[in-house]
Amino acid sequence: MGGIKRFCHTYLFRMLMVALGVSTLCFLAVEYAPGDRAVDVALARYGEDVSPQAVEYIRMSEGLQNHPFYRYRLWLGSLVRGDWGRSLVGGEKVTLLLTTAFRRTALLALFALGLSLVLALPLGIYNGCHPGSLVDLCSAGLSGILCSFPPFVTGIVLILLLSIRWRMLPVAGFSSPIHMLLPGITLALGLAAGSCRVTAAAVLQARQSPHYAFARHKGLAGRSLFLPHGLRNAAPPVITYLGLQTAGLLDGVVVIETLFAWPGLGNLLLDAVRGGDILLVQGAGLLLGWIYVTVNSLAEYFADHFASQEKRGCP
Amino acid sequence: MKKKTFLWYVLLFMICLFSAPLTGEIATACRFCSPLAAEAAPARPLVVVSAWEASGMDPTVSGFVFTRMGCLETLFTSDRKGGVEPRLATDWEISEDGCTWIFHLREGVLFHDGTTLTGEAAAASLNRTLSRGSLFKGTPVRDFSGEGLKLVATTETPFSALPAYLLHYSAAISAPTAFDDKGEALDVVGTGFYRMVSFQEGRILDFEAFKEYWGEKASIEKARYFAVPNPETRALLAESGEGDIVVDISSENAARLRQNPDISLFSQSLPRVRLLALNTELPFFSTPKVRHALSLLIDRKAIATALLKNPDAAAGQLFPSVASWHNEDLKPLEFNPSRGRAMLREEGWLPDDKGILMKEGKPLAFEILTYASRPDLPLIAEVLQQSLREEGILVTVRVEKSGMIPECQKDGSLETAFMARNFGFVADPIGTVITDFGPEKGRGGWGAMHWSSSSFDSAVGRYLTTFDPQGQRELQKEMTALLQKELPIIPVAWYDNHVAVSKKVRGIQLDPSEMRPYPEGVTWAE
Repeated sequence: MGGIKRFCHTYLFRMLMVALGVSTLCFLAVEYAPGDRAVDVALARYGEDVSPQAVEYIRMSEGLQNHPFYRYRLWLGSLVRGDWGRSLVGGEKVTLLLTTAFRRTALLALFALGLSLVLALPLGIYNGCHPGSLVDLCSAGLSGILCSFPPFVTGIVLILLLSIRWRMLPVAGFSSPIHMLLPGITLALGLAAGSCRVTAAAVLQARQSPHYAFARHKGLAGRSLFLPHGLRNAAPPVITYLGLQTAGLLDGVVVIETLFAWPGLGNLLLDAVRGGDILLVQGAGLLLGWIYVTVNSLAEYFADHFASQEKRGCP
Repeated sequence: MKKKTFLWYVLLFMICLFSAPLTGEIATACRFCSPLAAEAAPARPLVVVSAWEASGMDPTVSGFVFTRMGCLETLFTSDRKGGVEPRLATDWEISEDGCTWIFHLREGVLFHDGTTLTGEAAAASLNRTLSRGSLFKGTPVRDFSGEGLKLVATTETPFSALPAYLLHYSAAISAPTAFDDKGEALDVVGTGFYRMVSFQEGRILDFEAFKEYWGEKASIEKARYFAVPNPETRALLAESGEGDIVVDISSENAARLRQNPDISLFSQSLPRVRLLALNTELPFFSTPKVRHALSLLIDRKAIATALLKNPDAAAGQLFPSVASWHNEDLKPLEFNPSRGRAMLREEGWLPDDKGILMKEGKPLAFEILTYASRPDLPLIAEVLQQSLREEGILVTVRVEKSGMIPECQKDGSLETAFMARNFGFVADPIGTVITDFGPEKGRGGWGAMHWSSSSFDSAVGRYLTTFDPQGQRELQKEMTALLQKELPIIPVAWYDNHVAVSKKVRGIQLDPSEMRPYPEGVTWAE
């Protein structure tokens, strides 16, 4: 229980620090980027044909004529009250935009991660148990290729095969679950390539460790040897790696979102930065920061948990 | 896990992943089972794919989506030849002083919520545009009022371009129920042949035919607007047959799609031009002669052929033939490097031992600022950089976001800008001409830099108070001739709009100004 309490305290402290740090950095990055924020918002809102009068209208109506730090203070005050503000471009509530985009991104990320685990874990464990086998060599080659392919290339190849040639899956969209398959597979292939290699290395390392040899000399064999002494020891690096992959998936799939017209968080943030939509950038930065902290803290907790269990189990 | 079980598992997965598409039967079965197959049934919607998403339901911001899908309508529309055609208004009268306009509205027009179009409703919608939109900012439009089927517009000064402004998407007429008490958009309630039934994050919008539409009803029951910003994905959607009408196809993709037997590719000029704006305060751009010399060194035909895949896109003047201001009397801007070099020599720019043009110890060097949101611009800018370098002119290219152009123009640091300007923003290019070349106090930071001409300003003033089309045409010619003579900006290439249309539909008629709905008159092919 003490572990959970300490975890919660550390987690809440990190959340607070990230809220302050990330939001301040996002604000400074957008506010002090070259150019005039009112022009950026006017261009994003009205297009290229914007008049100087329209720019001034936006400056006054959105309060952009006020000192930046006065606006930042106002935003922090509203945030404490649970009001994340409205988008400067479209006028929608920032919370609504973020929750919708986050839901889409999380759905895609979980699907891709699940699919990658289905592919990578059995293969990684097998490769760790049979280093140098034909399967190990082939999968190492394949994962090398998949890791070195940028996701958009994999995505385009899959579209050309599965959508254009065989007409099995839709090219892009998000209105039905089937639209998730192509981006999900594209992401999963890249993820599986990485996690397969990490799993194989972790399993191999665990199997070559002295305590594994000791357990074997004690007379343990098969599952009773591999599961508690091999797999459990291999788990911490794999969990840490999965944590990083999850966090990366939640904000780093802009390319995939763009290619498959998937309206996720990465795209939303990119559009907000382009349009000088400060409130949306701050909100998205905050959310992404919290996601990182949550996922990394959980991964850290579980890795610690496995490590401490192993420590307790070994003399 | 036993080795044998594991191998079976891997084998099964490999079979699923790789063999399904290779066997025609399974692929066909998947095709029948997939939602795409369901969409192939006659009840599927007409899918329009475009690059632009709707940022909310506010017509002043995202009205272009709703007007182009036939959901919202304006008082007038484009006649596809640069002119104006009645839509919700049938005709107009102008007071003697030219400051009061009375528009007669069409009778029996219903909004999608069942209420009737009246002068009051139209005035409320337009007054909202006046206060919240960018359209009327900087114009002399004062207000709108309405009674019965009359809509009255008053202006501070005579403003002959008003009907052209009323074609703009943000002047589309919405029902009063579309907004709350504070004027925030709640829904999209228009008068068009499609009414909106769902709005998914501004990317997918579904429409269904409006049974009580006053004009020719939609022959396809359902329509979908799908915003796909990535040009490659749009082309792939056209190729896969998922998009029936796919607009904003890039030149490279257009060349590929032309070969596809299932697609008809329409290419049409737009009243939009890629141009080089010059800071005429800089010593080397201060005289029209140097500006003309620079223009003579630009091989527009080669740029248009190699990069834009259409030699006709080479801009011989500012306005393309599709624009109402195109002046057929003008001699086109040409590529004549020897003449250009000679003109620079006459102005004192002589090559040094390295071939760099120098005058009074200073090289002819400048920076081109451009932006990447239109991906062809940096590419063409680099071609200009290379070709001018061969003539001894040192050019650097800086790629920033587009908002930096007015910003740098304001602080005086802009030397040249390579950008796209839309002269079809309202039906009459005067809207853009005023902010780009008109009196300096009304300039928007996008057009000519520090160039002014009293005769041009006078022509603009006369144009706005001239209500006779013939008189306006004469003034258009006067202004375009002056721009060609002075060359404060150098036109490089016009824009083409490539639209991929599936052969499953027919009846599409494109509007160069993109003001008419895409699905207008479209039916399923037999």
